[in-house]
Amino acid sequence: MINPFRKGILFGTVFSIVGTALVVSAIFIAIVAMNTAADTRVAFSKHTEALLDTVESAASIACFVGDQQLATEVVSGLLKSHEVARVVIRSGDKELARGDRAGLSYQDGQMIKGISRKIVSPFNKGEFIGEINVEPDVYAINKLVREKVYFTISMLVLQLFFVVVAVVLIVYYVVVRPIRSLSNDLHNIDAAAGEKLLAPAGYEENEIARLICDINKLSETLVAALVNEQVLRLQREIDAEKYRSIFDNAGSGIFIADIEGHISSYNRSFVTLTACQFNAHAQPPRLAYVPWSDVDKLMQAINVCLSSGVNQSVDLELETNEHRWLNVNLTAIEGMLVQGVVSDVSQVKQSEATALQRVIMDDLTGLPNRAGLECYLPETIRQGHAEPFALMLVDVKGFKKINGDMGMAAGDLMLRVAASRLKGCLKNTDWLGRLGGDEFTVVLPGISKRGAAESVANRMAGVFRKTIEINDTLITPGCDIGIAFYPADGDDLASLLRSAEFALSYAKREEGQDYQFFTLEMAATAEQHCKLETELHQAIRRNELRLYYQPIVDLQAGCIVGAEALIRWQHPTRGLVPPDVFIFHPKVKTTGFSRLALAAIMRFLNGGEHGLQARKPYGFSN
Amino acid sequence: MLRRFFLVCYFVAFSSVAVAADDVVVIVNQKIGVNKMTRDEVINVFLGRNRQLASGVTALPLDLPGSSVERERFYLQLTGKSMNEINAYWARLIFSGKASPPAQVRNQEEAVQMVIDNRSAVAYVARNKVSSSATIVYELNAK
Repeated sequence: MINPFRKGILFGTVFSIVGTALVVSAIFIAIVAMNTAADTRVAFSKHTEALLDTVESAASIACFVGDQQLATEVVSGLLKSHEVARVVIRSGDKELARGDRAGLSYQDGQMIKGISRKIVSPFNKGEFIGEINVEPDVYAINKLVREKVYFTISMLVLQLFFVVVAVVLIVYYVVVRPIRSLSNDLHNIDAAAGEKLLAPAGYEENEIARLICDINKLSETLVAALVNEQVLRLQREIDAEKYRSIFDNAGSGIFIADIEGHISSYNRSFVTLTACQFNAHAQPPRLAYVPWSDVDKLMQAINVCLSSGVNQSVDLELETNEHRWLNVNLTAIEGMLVQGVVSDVSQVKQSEATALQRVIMDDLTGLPNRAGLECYLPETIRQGHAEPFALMLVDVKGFKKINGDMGMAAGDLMLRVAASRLKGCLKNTDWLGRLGGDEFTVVLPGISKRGAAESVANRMAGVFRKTIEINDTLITPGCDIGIAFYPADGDDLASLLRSAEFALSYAKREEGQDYQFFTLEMAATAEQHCKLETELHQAIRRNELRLYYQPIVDLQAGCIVGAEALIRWQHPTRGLVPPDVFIFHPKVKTTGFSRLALAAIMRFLNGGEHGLQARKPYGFSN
Repeated sequence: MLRRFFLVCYFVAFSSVAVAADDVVVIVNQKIGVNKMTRDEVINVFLGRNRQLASGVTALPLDLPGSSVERERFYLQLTGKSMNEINAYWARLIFSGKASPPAQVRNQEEAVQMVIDNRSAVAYVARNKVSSSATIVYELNAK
């Protein structure tokens, strides 16, 4: 309840009017006071002049004859006037009479300048014979002024009082009462029921009536808006119910969560899929309570989704007994929340895993193949940061022969036996795979020293020396092993395998040595051989190989019975290369070199100029 | 024009008559040694302001009876005031005793005689009443 004396219209109005009136009155009173003082002085002057007129002839006579008694009478007559404080009559230099009002004591400074009049001779108007001085009574004049001012003030106060009373009554009856009545009506009105305000009696035509009219209109508009709003809300509730039903009964799990993972809503399917019972009363549900195997991945996806606004899809494994896989598709809602649609992708994952298994496994032995090796070796090996390890290539001796002589089934059996025996030599942390053919691959993690690798290699060579029974035949296969170390012999898989291959080829070549470690010389030799091979191919094509014939003379018959054909390589940069450098090259056999050489010799013999008969030359290996 | 002419004639005639017969003059005793008085001196003496004459003698002014034409004429011509005004003047002063009106004589002859007999007497009479033993010190006229 507001305090009507401090905040009410009535108080405010009266306060303002009284305040204004007081200020204006104060100004008026000041003006009146000043004017009254001036008027009173003027009135005093006029009055004194009139008095002087009446006593002038007597004063004139007194001065004329220097009659002090007469002058004194004039003075006492003048002093009867209340405003006169002092009268002095002088004749020439002589003071004829002086009179002061009894009971007044003036300092000289207090005297107001009085009125003085020259006295002329009664018989000669042109002769000044004296002077009369009348000085006013300041107290009396001030008192007079005060009385007048007080009167004015009391009049103004009276006027103010009546004005205030009038204003109070007018404001109360014209403004406050109708407004209060209007306010009370407004408190009690039920706008929703269509009730309206009525103008108070006697105010049907003025501003109050207009105000009431406006309030009624506003009330109508608001009520109409409320009704409209209700209809809309009902419609929206129906729609929301529809969507909620869809939401609740959807096959996919749906949830809405914020960036912290607090779930604001979720449906039945979400609970079913995640196998997670939220107790909403105990604590608000959170995505973290779902037993994801990798909840950080989900939270990161939510972050990315909210910051970029792009839909995110993540596959997550549930750490339940069934090890189900769920796909969560995230959509940002207004940049603050994410909506996640959860679907079971366990079957897809299963199929994927099976397909992958098929790709990376060797069906025959159940061991991983080359793709499996690539999967096994960590990503870091490509950057050279992985832990050191040893890589072994194990070649089963005589596999081709068994495969050819006893059939593919025997070969397969042999490989399976070899695989199981190799497995027996290895620790659980070691890796065994078949990269193809009769070649097995072993990875020994953490091994970087020859000693440790040697013991494993010896163990493996040992198991291959034991006989295998295949189709009632006992076979002792034996093996060759090439060993390379990561990262010393190759810092990626390809180069490491190549190094192991080199070592393996040396092991195969060396009889009685089951394994070989890779060395740099192997690589250099291999490189040289490779180069020679390339050049030899070019040499044949460019016809750089020459045949030189040395005649064989039968000294008894004294005739040439044959010729020794020597092959020479006229190399464009190295000059004449001796045959021992290239003739024993392991690849020479495969290059068709011997056929070319033979053809050339046959061409020479068939030339017929020499009388020689062709026969298979000595020292020619096929 | 004609009217102004008559006016001028009237003044000339009146003044000549006044000078001739009814002129009032102020006389003093011959022995006093005063031959001439100013108008102010005459006023001072007769209206009680200062009765010292120029020679140092205190003058004794004499008034003609109240019914006298000369007295009325004298005061009127001297001060411009009527006898009533002169009487009122004296009435104001009579109580204070500071100044007193001139002593009154019965007629002009007595006045002349008083002047001849009394050294300090000063009187006003018609010119034709003046004897040779008195000195005319001031002449009043209608001017």
